[in-house]
Amino acid sequence: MDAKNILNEARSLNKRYNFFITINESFLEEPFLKKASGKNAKPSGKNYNEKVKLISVKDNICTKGLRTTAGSKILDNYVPVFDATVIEKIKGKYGVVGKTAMDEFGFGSFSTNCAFNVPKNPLDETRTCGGSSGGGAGYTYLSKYSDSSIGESTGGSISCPAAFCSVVGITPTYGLVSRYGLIDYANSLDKIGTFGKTVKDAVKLLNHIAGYDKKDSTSIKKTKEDYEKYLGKNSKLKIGIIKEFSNGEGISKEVEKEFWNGVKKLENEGMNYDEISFSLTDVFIPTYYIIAMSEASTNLAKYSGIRYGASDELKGTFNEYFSHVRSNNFGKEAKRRILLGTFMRMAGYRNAFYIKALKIRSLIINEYKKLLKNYDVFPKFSEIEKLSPVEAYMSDLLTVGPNLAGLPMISVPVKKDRPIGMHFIADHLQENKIIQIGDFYERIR
Amino acid sequence: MKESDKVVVGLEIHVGVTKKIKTKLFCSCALPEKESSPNSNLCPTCLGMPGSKPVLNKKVLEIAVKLGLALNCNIQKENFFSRKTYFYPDMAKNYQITQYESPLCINGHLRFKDKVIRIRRIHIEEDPASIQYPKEIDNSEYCLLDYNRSGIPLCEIVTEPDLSSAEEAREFLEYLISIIDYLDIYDSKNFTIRVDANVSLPGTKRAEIKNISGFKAVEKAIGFEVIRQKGKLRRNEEFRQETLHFDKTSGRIIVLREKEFEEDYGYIYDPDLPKIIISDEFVKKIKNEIPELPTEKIERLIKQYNISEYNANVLVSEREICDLFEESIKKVDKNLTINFIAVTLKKILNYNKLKLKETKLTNNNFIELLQMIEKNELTPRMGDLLLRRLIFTNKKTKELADEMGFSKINNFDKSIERILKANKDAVNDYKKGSSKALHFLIGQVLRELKGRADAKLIEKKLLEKIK
Amino acid sequence: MKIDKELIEKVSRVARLNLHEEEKEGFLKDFKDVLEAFAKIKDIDVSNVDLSVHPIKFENVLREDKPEKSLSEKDIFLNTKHKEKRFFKGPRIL
Repeated sequence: MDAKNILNEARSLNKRYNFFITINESFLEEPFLKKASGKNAKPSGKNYNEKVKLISVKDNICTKGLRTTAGSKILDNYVPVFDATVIEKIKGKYGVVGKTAMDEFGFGSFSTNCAFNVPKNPLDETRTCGGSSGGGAGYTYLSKYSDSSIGESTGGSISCPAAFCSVVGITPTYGLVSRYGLIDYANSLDKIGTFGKTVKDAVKLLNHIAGYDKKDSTSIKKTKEDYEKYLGKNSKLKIGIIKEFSNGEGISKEVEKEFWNGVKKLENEGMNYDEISFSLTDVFIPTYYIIAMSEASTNLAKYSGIRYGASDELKGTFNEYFSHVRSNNFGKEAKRRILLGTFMRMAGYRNAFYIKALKIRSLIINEYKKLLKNYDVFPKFSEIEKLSPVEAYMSDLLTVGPNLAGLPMISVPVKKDRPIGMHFIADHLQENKIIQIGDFYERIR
Repeated sequence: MKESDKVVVGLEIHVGVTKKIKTKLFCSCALPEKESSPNSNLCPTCLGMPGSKPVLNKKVLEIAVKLGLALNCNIQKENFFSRKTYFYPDMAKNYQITQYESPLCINGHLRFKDKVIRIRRIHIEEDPASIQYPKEIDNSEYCLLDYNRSGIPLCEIVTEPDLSSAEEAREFLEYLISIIDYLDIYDSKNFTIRVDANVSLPGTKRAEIKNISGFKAVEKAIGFEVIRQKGKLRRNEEFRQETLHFDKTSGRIIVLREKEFEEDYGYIYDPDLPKIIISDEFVKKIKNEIPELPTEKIERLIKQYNISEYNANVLVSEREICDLFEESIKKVDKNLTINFIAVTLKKILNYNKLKLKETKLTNNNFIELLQMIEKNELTPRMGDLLLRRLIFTNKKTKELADEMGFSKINNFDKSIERILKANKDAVNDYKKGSSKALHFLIGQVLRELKGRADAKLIEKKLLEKIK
Repeated sequence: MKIDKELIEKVSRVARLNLHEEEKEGFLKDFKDVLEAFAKIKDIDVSNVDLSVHPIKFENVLREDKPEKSLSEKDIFLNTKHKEKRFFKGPRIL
C-alpha cells in the first residue's frame, strides 16, 4: 500500500465531509512509516509499514508539533509542545492521519458548534455526524485505511456520534484512560475513548491507550487488562432496561422499534432482561450541565492572549485586553457555557447550583451502583435530529447519566449502516461486560 | 488610648516552603534559584498549557503539617484543593489552585509577648508568576512576566486581626520567622516572604495592602496606611473596601482597584486533584520530627543551665546560636561562653546585619577561641577582635590568631622595667597610696605590649618590682 | 433570584467577556430558560448526602519530589508573539 493514498483519501473525504480540522501533512515524514528493518528504509510513501495502523484523533488531544485547536478559534494556531499520554502510548503502532472536527471544546451534541467547517454525516450529507466527536466517527465509517479513531466523551460525545455515523463507540470507565494532554472541558467527566468500524477495532485501540498514568491524578491504578480476550464470548449477561428511557417519550417511533428488535434478538439468544426503574432521570440533565459548565468556565479562563492561543496588540489594561481577546475568539456556545458556569459557582448561587449538583451526583452514582449489582448491563438507544439551547441540552438525556457516574459504555449500530445505536452500560471497570455484549450483539444483529 | 489609635491589623503571610524540597508544588520542575534566567524552569503544567495536569508533591504536605503543628493548629483529616478563579497577568491558568473548603491547618495560636495571636488557618497554594514593570506599576505600558515562580509551593498563614500596631506586626513577623527557621522549611536566599496586611481603625473600612515584601516594609506600609485612614477620617471622606499596593522605593500607597463589586472567585473543587486524607499516624510521625521550638527551649535552658531569662532569650533568637552555646559549654566555662555569645558575638552579628548561619563561623573555631582565652593565650579583647574576622573566613582560629599577631606575651619583664624607669613620679605616687597611679602604669605596659598581655598579670609583676 | 440584564452584565464582567446589547438580550433569555429547566434540582433532598467531585473514589495521589527536565526556551515561547528577551509580555496593570 502507498502511504500517499492514505493522505489523498483523507484530503478528498475532508473536502466533501469536513471530518478534519487539520490533516497531518507531515504524515509521510513520520518515523513509523519506515519499515522496521531494511536498509532502504526511507520515509517515503512506498515504504509504508504494514504493521502500523492509521487513526484519526479528536482535536482536543494534544499532538506535539501538530496543530491542535479543540474546535476553537481561540486555539486556531496552537501547536502543542508535548504529546498527550494516549499519543505517546500509540507511538510506533498507529500513525495519526489528522485531527478530527468537533464542537468547540466539546460544547455540543451535533458538531455544529465548531469554529471551523461542520462535519457531514457519511450516511446522509444533509445530516449531522452527532457530537461532539463527530469528525472521528464519520471518518472511521468511510475510510478505507483507518478502522479506528480516538474520541472523547464528557456527556455522551462518543456514543452519540457513534450512533449517528453507524460505528462502534467505546466510552471507558472514568480514569481508565489518562487525560494528560486532553484539553479540558469538564475534568471530572472527560474520558478519552475509541471508535471502530467494528467492536474489535475499537477494542484493539482501547487496549493500547488504557492504563495507569502518573501524570494524571485521576488515573486508576490497576493491572493492565487485555480487552481483546472478551471478544467472541457467548456468556449470558443479565440485562436491565431502564423504563424511563425506553417508554418512548421523546423518541422517534423508528428508533424505538429498532431498539426493541435488538432487545428481542438478544432475548432469542437466551439473554434475559428486566424492565427496571431509575428514580433520578429527571435531574440527569441539570446535574450534568451544572457540573460541566462550572468546571468548563474555570478551564476556559486560561485563554487570555499572552502565552498561547489567539492574541492581539497589548492595548488597554489587563482586564480590557483579556476581555477583548476572549470576546473576539470564543464562539457563542462557549460564551454561553462560560457565563452559565460562572454564574452557577458565584457566591450566593453556588450552593443552590454547583454544590447541590455534586450532591445529586452522589445519589445518581449510588442508584446506578445499586441497580448494577443485579444486572450486568443496561441497554439504551443512542441516537437522533436547529434547537434552542435547552432543547439541545435535553437531547443528551440518554447519555449524561452514565457519564456523570463515570460508567463504561459501548454504542453498537443496531444494524450495519443504520444510524441508530444500541447502547450498553455496565458498572465501573467492567469493560469486559460491555465488550462481551457489544461484540455478541454485533454478531447476532 | 484614644479611640482613633486602636489600630486593627491582620496578616496573611505567604511563605515559600522550598528549603527541603527539589520540585514545584504540582509539577516536577526543579525549583528556580535567584540567579536562574527568567522563564527557565518551566513545563506545561506550571505554564498552564492546555491539557496539562497537576500532581501534588508529597513533601509539601509533610512540611505544611509540620508548620501547622508548630503553630498549634488542628490538622484537618479530609483535604481538598480548590480553584480560585480570577484574572491577572501573573496567573498561568487564571485560577489558582489553593485550599478553600478545607484548609489543612485551622485554629492555631502563638504566644507572643504577653498576647496570644490566633492563627485562623494555614493552607497550601501555588505561587503565581512574578511581574516586573519597565517603569512602575502605574505608568508602564506593559508588564514583563517570569513564570519561574509559577507553581512554587506556598503556605499561607492567616492570622486573626489580633495585632494592634505597625510595630507589633513587624515584631510578630520576626518572631514567626524565627519559628519557621527552627523548622528549617524556608529558604531565605531564593525566596522572599510576602505579606498582605489588612488594616482598619474604628470608623474605617478594612483596606488590604497586597504583596509587601520585607518586614520593615510591612511596618512602613501599615504605618502609612494608618496615617492615610486617619486623614480620611479627619476629612470625613467615605470609606470603600480597597486593595492597595505599597511601592517600596517611593514609599507610596497606590490604590489598585476600588471595587465596584467584590471580585467573585467562584471556588470549585479542583476536579484534577483527588482529596487528601491525613491519618493520625501521619500527624504523629510529623510531630516527632518537629525540633524543640523557642518557647520550650527557653524554659529548658533556664532550668538546665541556670541562666537568666534574658540570656536564654538571646540564645534562642536563632537556632544555630543555641546549638553553638550547647556545644561550647561541653568544653568551656559556662559564664565565659554566655558572655561571649550573648554580648560579643551578638554585637558583631548585629553590626554586620547577619545571622549566625549566614557566617562562616564553625562551632569548632568558636570553641577553640574560648579555650585560648581560658588558657590565657588570648585576652578577651583579642578574642573579640579575632571573632570579628573569624565569621568571614574558613581559617582555623589559631592560624588567624598567629596571622593577626595575637599570641599572648607572658614574659614582659623588660617592658616593666622600662615603664617603671620612665615613670618615676607615678611610682612615687603609688607608694604614697594612689591606686590611680597603678592603673596608669598598667595602662602604659599594656600600650607597649599592644594589649597582648593580661592586665592582672601585669599588675602582679609591677607590684613585685615596685616592692 | 432575579435574572435580569444587570446579572448578565455582572457575570460577563467576572468572566471577562464583553457583550454587546444583542448578546446581552440573547443570553438573558437563555439564562431564564436554562435556569427554569434546571429548577428541578430544587426538589431533590440532599440532606446528609456527601458530594462527589469525581465519579470514582481517588485518594492521596501524590508525587515523589524528583526533578524532571524543563521545556526548552524555544518550546516555552513557541506559541506567542508577546516576548521580550526571556520574558513574556503582558498587558499593563493600571
